[in-house]
Amino acid sequence: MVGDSQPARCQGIGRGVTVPPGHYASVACDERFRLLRRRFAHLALWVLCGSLGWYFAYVALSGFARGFMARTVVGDLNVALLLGLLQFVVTFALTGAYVAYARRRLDPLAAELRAGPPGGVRVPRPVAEVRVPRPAGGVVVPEPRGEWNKAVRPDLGEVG
Amino acid sequence: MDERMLTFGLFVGFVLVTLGITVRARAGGKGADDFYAGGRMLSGPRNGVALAGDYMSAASFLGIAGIIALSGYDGLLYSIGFLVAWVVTLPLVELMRNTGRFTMGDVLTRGARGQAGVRAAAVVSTVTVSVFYLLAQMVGAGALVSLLLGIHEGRRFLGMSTGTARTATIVAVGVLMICYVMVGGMKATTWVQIIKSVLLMAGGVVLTALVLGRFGFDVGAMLGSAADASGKGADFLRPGQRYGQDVPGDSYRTIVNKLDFISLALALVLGTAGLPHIVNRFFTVPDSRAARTSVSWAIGLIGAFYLMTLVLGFGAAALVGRQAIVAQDPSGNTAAPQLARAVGEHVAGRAGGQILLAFIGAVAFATILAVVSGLVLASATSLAHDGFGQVLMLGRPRESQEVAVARVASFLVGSVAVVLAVVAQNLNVAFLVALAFAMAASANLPAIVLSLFWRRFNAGGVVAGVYGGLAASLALVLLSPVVSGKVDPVTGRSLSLFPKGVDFHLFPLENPGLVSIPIGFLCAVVGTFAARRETDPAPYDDLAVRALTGAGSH
Repeated sequence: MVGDSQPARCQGIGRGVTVPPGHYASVACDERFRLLRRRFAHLALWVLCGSLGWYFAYVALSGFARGFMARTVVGDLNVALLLGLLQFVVTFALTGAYVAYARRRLDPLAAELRAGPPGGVRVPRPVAEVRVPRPAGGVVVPEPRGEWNKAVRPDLGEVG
Repeated sequence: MDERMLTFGLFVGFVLVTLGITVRARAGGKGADDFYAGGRMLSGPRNGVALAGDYMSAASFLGIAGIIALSGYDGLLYSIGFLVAWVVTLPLVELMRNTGRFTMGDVLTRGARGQAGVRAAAVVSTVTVSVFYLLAQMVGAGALVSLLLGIHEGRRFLGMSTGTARTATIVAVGVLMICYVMVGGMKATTWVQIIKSVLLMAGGVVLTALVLGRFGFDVGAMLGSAADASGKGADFLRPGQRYGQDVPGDSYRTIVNKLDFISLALALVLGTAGLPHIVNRFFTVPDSRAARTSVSWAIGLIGAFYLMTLVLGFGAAALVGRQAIVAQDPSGNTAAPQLARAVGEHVAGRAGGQILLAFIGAVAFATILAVVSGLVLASATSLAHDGFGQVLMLGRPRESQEVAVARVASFLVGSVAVVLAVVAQNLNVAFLVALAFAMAASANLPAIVLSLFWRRFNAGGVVAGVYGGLAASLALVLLSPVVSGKVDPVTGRSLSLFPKGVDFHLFPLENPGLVSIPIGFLCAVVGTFAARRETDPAPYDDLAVRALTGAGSH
């Protein structure tokens, strides 16, 4: 999911290959979905690198740079305690940033995609066997409008 | 009144309230959604409070305060690992919420039915991790009760001797947790967690305020006084008292100690996202946004709580003193209750000390009870949903049947845990929590991460990764100094599970994570390529769309 902006299958659609039988697989070619995926990948990468990088830097300093960590900052407060408290600050800040970004940049896109693709051509079910003709202008994945996301998923039907 | 009776009374009050809620939850709904996931309608903040309750075990509360009180700064290192782990969980939580239904097994099979091998691996790993964690908590409960109720050799409580009281506590905790889970399922367990979280935070805030008050709200003065009282001076506020110790003149030991410390840090930070009782809680909310909110609430609460344990630990070092703490319990688990008595006495005399001690003692029991309930529920859910529903019934169980199996499974898992805990009650099981984290990080995390992010990952990879990671962490612990061959250089007593003289340790580190986590990932990758037939991208694209948009999630 991370890092590949163009799923291999989407390149093939224009050449008239079979749309595979994943119920939502075809959405993976939607431009907006690829944008959502890129944004999520960047967000996750930044947050993970930030928190884990900073944490392991701190662990390494605690293990191997004891002289540096023992330096006094103010009174009884030393570098080790200060960096430890900064871990809390960084954790809270990264969490806040993650939540804010996700709310602003991910949720609206996801909601739009959940609501169904715009201007899709109605295709008779089952999708699995449909041969997609080469569209005139770029890659358009035909999908019925409206409740496509609740469409036939036999494995979900009984309890949920 | 005797403070032991007060503790007992407060705890009985907690039990009665939570049992009442359990019975009400039973009346609410009887479907699989209700039993496994509390009806999936918990709000984000509420689930966040429950997550914090699930996470802050007695090890966090009593353990970290104790480590800080005895080893100073290094206790802080431990709690920071527990906290930073949640940032790793943050990007995973929405994806897991959207792709799974009740268990980790749902995520690993990419939402598809069947895949018996994957489901079986999920069951094995969930139950193993849960039982180890469960055992640690229950043995801890037994040890705690004799300390908190002040039952020493020769003293009796309600007519019971020490040994009987311990066994009775373990059995009572076991019976209660089975009751909550069997009768009330996820809803009841959630309420137990929420009430416990609120009690724990309240207890923490009161104690922290009283401790800081003793020092005129001057944190510097508290730190200075703790360093003086510890007898180690400024070293008490620096890393190296406990983890990654330098051994002068022995560079091999020094390196081993440092690697051990890094290994622990790795397991702590990567284990959380694979703990079954935490993962199952991601499925109780209506959508991914609520799941995200609940994790951010949990981070806020857990962070605030660990900041308070910092004050409690250093406060205990300053106000109770090392000698008094070690006299009660050599590993320092009673530092927080002892501190409660000390500051209570200072504020309101003997009665004040007794009341505060009783309150903190009751909170500690509630903590243990809540965490073990969450663990039993996680195991039962996996056994019934993955094991019975998907493997035995080939993915077509009747819903009522599956829930009935879940209730029976919770009884069985709970009973096994009680028996094991009674048998193991005299062993030193403190390492079991770290082991549970290492197993979760080595077996579950690779499978979860690769399922969500690697297109080519397949069932062969899941099975190889889960069993490989699990086996590696178990084998490395068996061959480590935790189990055999570690001897206290001063007293000459064995510090391992086996008595002195038995020594079959081959692996030098006490924490397996540094080696077993890479093994877990490696097995998953190798298994994927070994089992690879034709690559069909559709199931992965399907999963990716569902994970990121929440389309078609339950």
